Amino acid sequence: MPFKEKAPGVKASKAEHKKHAERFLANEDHKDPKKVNKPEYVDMTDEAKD
Amino acid sequence: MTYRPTFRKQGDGSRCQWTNCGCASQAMASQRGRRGVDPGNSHGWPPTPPEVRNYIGACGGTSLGQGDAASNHLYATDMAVRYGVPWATFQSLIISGRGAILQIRYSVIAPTKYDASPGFTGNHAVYVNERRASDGALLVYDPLADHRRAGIPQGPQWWPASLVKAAAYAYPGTATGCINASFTRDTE
Repeated sequence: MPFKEKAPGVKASKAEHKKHAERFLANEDHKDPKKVNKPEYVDMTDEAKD
Repeated sequence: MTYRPTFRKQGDGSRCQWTNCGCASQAMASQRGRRGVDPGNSHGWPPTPPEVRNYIGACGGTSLGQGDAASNHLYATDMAVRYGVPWATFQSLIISGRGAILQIRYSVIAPTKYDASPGFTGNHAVYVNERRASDGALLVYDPLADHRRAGIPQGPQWWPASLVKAAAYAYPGTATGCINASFTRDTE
């Protein structure tokens, strides 16, 4: 299941942000783009111009 | 104070330079992940885009996962590659003490003063180091921002969060309201 927990507000303590971060990073679905992104997603950058 | 890595430009004359946005972003992220401390292995230090590229191999675009593999092998620091990250959670991870390589669509940056590659509108990678509490701006290390000509920005720039968000949302195929990024370890 994609992560649904609401993030702390930007003024919340760093400790709260760290807890939220750890819970999010533990979610397996967000390690797989096929589970959370649209089918056309491609994990690849393009060539820039000089 | 948040550790700030050395800015690395992709246009350094090395092999594959104009497809090295991911390599340059990874070099900066790896330096952040180690807070500038040399792992003391047989590879170079500090991290550089060509070394990351040489590990990845042939020229061409790169993925977040390729950068992560290079970072582990060359610099002994792991990245957390995550897709479909809600914007508020992305900001939370930055505030918590992590840097991030962020995938963006450059067409959103092109019309702004932050454009560092006139005419380029494609998929790009930048490194985000920190958030400024006073206005919410994000310190973005765009590997293209090397001031190689007049009008091209130089080095890290504070981009409005709204611009970063819009450019990340515009990356093709990204889940609505989300971004794709690779996070350093928590260094704070």
